Amino acid sequence: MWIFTVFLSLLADNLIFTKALGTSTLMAASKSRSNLLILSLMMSLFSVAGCMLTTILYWSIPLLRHESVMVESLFSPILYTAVISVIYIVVLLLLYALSGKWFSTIKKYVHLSAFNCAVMGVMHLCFAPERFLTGSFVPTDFLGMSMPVMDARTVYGSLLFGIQMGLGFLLASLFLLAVRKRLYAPEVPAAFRGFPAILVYIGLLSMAIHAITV
Amino acid sequence: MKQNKFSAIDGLFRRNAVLAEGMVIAPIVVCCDTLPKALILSLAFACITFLSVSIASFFPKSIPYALRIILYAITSSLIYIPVAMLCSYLNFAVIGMYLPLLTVNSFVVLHSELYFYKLQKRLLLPALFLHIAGFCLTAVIIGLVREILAYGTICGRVVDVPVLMQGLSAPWAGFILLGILCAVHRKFFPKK
Repeated sequence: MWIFTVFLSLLADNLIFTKALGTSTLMAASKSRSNLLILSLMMSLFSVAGCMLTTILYWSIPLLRHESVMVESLFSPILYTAVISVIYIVVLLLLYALSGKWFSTIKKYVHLSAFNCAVMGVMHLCFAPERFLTGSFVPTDFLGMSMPVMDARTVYGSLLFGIQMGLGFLLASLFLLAVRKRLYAPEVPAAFRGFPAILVYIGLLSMAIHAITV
Repeated sequence: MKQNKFSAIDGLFRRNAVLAEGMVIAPIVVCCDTLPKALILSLAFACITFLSVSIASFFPKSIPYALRIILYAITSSLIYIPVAMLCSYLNFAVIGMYLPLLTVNSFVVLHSELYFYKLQKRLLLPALFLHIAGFCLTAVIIGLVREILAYGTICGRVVDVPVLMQGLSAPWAGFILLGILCAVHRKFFPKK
């Protein structure tokens, strides 16, 4: 039962199916199985690290916490971009040191997964000014477990939020992987083959999830 | 070697950012459920993308790509500030969190490097303008169709539609409509 609840929770808050975030990246990566899985893992890593580092910054630099929602929303993209940039450079340096000859293959995934709507979207959702200024918390409890909702402004809360969003993206990738071959098959009309068929497929899944969770 | 020609039809149709390249899908799917929202999104996208890509074209190519991509994202985040201030006067709140997300759209961080900066400088601005126009055209078409079918209105004015399908304002309908529009686009401009 717990697994079912977790599954539903991942679907109900899914970045792709409910907010369409990261769809372009998913499309770009959908050409091969390995692309999709590596990219999903990379994006999960960036989401989790981004949320945690931003939380630490918010707590350690009080200047970043502005009373005005307007000011906060004006400057948040710069802050999030700076945070992701730092993580991006650290990841690139680590991969350069550890992956050896594979570095040139892996680095394209790092480029693609660092600066995109999904990672930035997770951070915007996690630290939405309206939410923290009114003292409310991350919108859902973690993976359907009956633990109390978490304050995104704690490292633990942001960690769990990042993991949940990352797992959601991974799940969406797995859904796409399952039918990818068929959506590119010659039996599909040429006009719909590939990208348009993927969009319709995501739309149908999104409609089903919408119906389940309403 | 830099490309020294492009055709107007490329930006608007053949290499349409959304329909052919699959970029910037999220705002179109979620925000474009009415024509006014589509127009607002188009304006915000045009301001952020045009300024960001044109300014970023001056960054020297000697800077490694890993650092250049950071500079692109920071440039668009800085441009976002005046655009968002302008937006606060024009009721841009309807776009919600998708407005700041335009700062890291694929156009700015990816497509600029793969396409625009390979063009000669004199062609960059017209090509950029036409590609942005292609995005706006797609947004307007999706917004218009969804508004008519879901709400029976055009820009809030009631039109005679026999059956309303309010579900079409949801993101799932955005995906399906966009998929159908992509297929229609591909029929007219098949991939080589």
